[in-house]
Amino acid sequence: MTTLLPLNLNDVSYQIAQRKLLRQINISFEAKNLSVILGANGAGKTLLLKLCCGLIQPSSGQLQWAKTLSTKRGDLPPYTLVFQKPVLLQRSVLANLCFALQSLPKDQALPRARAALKWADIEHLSSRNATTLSTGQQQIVAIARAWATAPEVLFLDEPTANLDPDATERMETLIANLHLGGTKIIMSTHNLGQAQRLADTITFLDHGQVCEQQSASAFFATPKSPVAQRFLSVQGFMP
Amino acid sequence: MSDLSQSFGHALNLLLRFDSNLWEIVALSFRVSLSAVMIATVLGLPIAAALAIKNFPGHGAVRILVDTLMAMPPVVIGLVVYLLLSRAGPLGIFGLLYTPSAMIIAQSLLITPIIVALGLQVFVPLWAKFGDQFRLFNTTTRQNLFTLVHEGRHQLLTVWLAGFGRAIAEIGAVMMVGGNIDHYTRVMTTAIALETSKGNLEMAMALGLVLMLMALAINILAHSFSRLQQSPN
Repeated sequence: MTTLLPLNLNDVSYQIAQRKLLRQINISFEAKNLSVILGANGAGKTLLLKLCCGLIQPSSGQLQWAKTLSTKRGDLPPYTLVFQKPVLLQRSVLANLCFALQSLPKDQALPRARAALKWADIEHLSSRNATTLSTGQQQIVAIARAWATAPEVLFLDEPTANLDPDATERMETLIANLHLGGTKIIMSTHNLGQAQRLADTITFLDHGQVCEQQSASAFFATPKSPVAQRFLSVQGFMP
Repeated sequence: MSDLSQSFGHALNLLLRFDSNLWEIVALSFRVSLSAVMIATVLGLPIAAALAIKNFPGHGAVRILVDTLMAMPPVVIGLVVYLLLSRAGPLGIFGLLYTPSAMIIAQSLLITPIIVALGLQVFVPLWAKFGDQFRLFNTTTRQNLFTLVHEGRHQLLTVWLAGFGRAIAEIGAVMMVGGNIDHYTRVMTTAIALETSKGNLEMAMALGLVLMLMALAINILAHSFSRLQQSPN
């Protein structure tokens, strides 16, 4: 049962050298829904995810989880992020998964890593050097590694941006499975088809500002903001 | 010209018949420089990794200091170590001046900044790649350090070889603190200088050949390691 959520962002801004990259973000991510952050390249999607994960700190405003995070150094974190470009170590796929599980006793880490490989159907890649796999395979290893840490919330930053259609389909299936298994998914994409297939709620971001946040069905039927309407119509998604 | 080729012939002869004087000098050179590079690695790599991972007040100043120390001429290092170890110096009571230990200390001081500076060039891009991921995994600093060393192991071997190459080819510092004492602190570089000044070109050329062959071996190894790095399989 998720206890960390909702995640509330109150008036959150982020700037570097007087340049406002995210402006007064006021949104909430509820449990259960699969949330998609939609927007064009450069809209600030990656920054928003990094803020939510604590990798960068807001210049102003507050980010509040429902429960205080009290992860000690070395503990398994309650949330994780799968990057657009998978970040894997130069060692076997299995060792990569075990690396993320270092805080668990060895007799628990190894079975858990093997279970993750089975979950993602990549047991045959177990002993391969992870950095020599195709990008699609690497991204599947990255999501399997995330699954292995059993996060309450999983952030994904354009997880299929560099993948071919087959790998994209596999990733989407795995993401949907994670969601069904009770993990809160918050992912970014600029792919409207993918957003339509996966999202329960859409947060639309443009030039560092949230233009709207509403259910996916409502967003695709009647987008409220003019920029979202334009974004949909340019790609032939307007009703 | 015929003198030169004759000397070269004699030099080869010295090498091939395993002249004990010559190989004693080569062995001491290796002992001193390998010890120095080991000490410099143990000191330098953690400093390099810490500088790559941690941002603290004075970080920039430390990096400038490291770069400055890297450019320090060996004779200056030799002078500093001489002053420290001489009888009137703060470490004079240990009686280390003109011993192989003094030479190891001087070479360690000479190459530690090199190991730090070159190590930084390995660790900084690795940390840029893995830093966020490690923070998300909530790994400890110790785990991060070991993982960075493991990820950069092939490049770090090249760094290690660069340090060793610098140490074994250095003459100023070992001459000043070792004293070039026969059968005790005479290494390849100091012996080459001495034998040349004495006109004993055979010995000087034989030692020069060993140094050249070593430079070749180090470069072959460094290239092999960088090839390994490019193809992780």
